[in-house]
Amino acid sequence: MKRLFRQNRFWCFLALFGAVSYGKAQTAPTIDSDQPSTTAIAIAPPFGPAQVGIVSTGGAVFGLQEKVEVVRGQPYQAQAVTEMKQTLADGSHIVQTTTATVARDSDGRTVRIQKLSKIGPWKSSSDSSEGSSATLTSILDPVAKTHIDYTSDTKVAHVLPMPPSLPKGAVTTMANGFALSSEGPDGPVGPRVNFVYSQRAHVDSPDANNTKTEPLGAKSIEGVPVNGTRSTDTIPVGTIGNEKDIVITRETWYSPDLKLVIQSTQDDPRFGQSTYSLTNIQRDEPDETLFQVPAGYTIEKPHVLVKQLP
Amino acid sequence: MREKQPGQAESEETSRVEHLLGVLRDLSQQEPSTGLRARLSDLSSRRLQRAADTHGTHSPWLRPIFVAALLVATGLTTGLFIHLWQREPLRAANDSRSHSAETPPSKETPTRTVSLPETPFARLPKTTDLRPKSVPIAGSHRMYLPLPYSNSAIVTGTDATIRVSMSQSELQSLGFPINTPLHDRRVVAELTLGDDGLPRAISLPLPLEVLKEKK
Repeated sequence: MKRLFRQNRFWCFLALFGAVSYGKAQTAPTIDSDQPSTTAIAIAPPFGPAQVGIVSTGGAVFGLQEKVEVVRGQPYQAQAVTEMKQTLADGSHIVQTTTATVARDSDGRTVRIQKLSKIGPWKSSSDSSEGSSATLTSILDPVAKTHIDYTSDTKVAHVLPMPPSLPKGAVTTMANGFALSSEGPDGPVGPRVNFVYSQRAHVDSPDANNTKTEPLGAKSIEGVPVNGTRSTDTIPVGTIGNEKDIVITRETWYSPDLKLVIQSTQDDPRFGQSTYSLTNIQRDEPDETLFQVPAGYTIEKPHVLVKQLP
Repeated sequence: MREKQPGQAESEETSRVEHLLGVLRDLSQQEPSTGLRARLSDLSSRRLQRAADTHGTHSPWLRPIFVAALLVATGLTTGLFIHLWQREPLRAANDSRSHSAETPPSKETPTRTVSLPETPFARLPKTTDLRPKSVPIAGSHRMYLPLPYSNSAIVTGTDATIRVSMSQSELQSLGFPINTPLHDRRVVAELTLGDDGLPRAISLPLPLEVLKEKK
């Protein structure tokens, strides 16, 4: 037996290598932090475990806009208050609140100005002071068909074109949360497909059957009539290793007049509760400078890549 | 090589003994003694027995099994190479052409143009599959993960993306499979903020951009 293995040593090693490598290939892919390219950029050390350092905003990393309804003739300005509340195992809470200025003019331009001291569940380690924090401004301009973002500290504004509207007959396929759309040079899609582009898309959940929606009636918030809806998503037991059903609830109060969500609450037992509410709602025409890049900013216009199909 | 049959080997040994006795007869000019003849025959039979024992350890079923195992191993190895080949990142086989935005330049501010890679961002599904996915876009891969914080019902078109440096332990807690976390290293990630200002998705461009923290 020994002699048999000795004579076929090479094949034995090959078989062993094949078995081990195949086994490794079947495991989940991992990212080895020792292997990737490193950049010699020094950043501020973290103050705590849940902090992030802001490297840059918008610009070249901005995704293409999805379909957004343009609402004209219904201007407003308000403060958008977002609160995230996480409950710890001992019953205590972590609460993070962010406030932003939001507005829309009569032409349907929208703007959001928020401080970058807090980003969802994380704090910014580069600037933890709410008062001195840099602000990120995002503007959607359906008149100029652009999306603009700029940050107060870098004085750089990024101006991106909104994606072209799809022609009749264009094919859209869904993959990994993308809508991949293609059209031909003369419109219809066929063998003469000219280009394909990707844009963000709303992906229907595969678990849509586990969603229930019920109306909550009508009421008034900040003097604005709103209609309420409660939707409940259930992750059935065992789906993600859960011992019991996980119920995620969302309550949304929508103004059909302003075509705007005035208040919403989202409760996910895995991640806590987040509340969004508009306060100090003023229905006057907002200052037009809110929708413009301030003077002295450098404007960057990223290219939009359009892939040529063979 | 063909194996010798037992009868054939025995006759060869007998002729070898006779040959040796003949050589002794020629050298000594007399007939070898009976004891010497018996001793040579005994040695010959022992040699035959040893050969038979050695031959017997190789069971007739062992070789086909070994060959079959090698064939299976070779098949697995071939399958592995094919598997790895198919997992190679999708190459940007298509030629690209760029179209710049037709936005009137501002006279007051300097303007420069930069290229924009196509990036994967998606609305958060109602019930999110929180496992990270590897998404090939324009020839580059990135790990992409929807986050549950933003409310997709709030749509004003004012979402944005920011690049942040995040600790590897934080990325691990989100579900990214990162090996060997180092405390003085942070990874650059792209956060997509929803219209409510909360993170909607996070993606890691691959290869990772790792930052060393300032001491």
